[in-house]
Amino acid sequence: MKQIVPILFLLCCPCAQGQTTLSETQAALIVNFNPIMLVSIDRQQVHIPAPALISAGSSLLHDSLKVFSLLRYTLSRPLYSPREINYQIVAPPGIYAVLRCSNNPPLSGGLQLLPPASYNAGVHTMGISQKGGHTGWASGDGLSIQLLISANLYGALSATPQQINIIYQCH
Amino acid sequence: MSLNTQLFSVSLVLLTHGTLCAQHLHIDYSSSPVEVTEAHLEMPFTAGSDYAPSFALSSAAIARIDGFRGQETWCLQAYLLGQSALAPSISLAADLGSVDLSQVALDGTPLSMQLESLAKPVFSGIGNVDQLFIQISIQGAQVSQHVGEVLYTVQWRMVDGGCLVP
Repeated sequence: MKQIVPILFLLCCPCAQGQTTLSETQAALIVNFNPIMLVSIDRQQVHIPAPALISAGSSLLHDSLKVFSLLRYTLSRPLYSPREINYQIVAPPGIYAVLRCSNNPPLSGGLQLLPPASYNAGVHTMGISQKGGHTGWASGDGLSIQLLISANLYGALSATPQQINIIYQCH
Repeated sequence: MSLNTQLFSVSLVLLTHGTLCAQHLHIDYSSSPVEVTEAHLEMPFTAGSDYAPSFALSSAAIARIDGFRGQETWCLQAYLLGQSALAPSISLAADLGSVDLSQVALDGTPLSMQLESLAKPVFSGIGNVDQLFIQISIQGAQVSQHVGEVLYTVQWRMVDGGCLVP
């Protein structure tokens, strides 16, 4: 009997301590707080005609060449709550570009870009001010912007297409 | 006590213990990963709005308990393993409508429980349960801070007897 008592105690021990675990399993749950991503923006091609030059041998475009463009973008999901879009203009040597908000209201509902103009050096931020009632930017909305291009001799007389890259990043 | 009696006692205890270990707990999620979207904002689909203080996920945990031969009472507990303090908290609420009321020990089933590192009761049941839906909610999420995937490793445990709800 003395030999059996410790065995019985060990077997009953879990019960003596409280509730017995009958079964246990692990199951991982992944929650994806959906990131907001700027997936794509349409490419645009602008042709600069020769009359834009002041005269033969001119080193500058006549005035600044204004290119009105509609920034069309696709987002991974509708854009809610982000406060700003960063952009960076990368222009070839001799070509200068300025990006600014067009005079037209950019979007219905009162979104506007601040500041109104920025230049091509470095990274700039376009703030989005929100005015009441707008329900965000749905995927595929357009953002009306204006691109001002000027060029020196090297840039203006280039016979090959020049590419200006504008890199956008939204937060 | 004769040797036969002693052996019988040991056999009885072994059999009883073996019966207790025969039950199985199965947990699945109706979907994983679960997407948190603009529909979960406090003012859904509104620019500048933050997530609601608490919102239910579209995915539920589905528990299946089998292996009981009778109407034994048990308690389903859950706790989190290795969770980051920065992650939004998560809570569970058993959907009593998903099971027959005869399978629920109502006095031992909490309305909801917040998952922590210590095991806490989720549902107090009786006998086998085919499908118990458990609603999952998120608390304290912020648009500016919580972006991307968060992994919640949930340990589920079934113990004998009903839950002891404080």
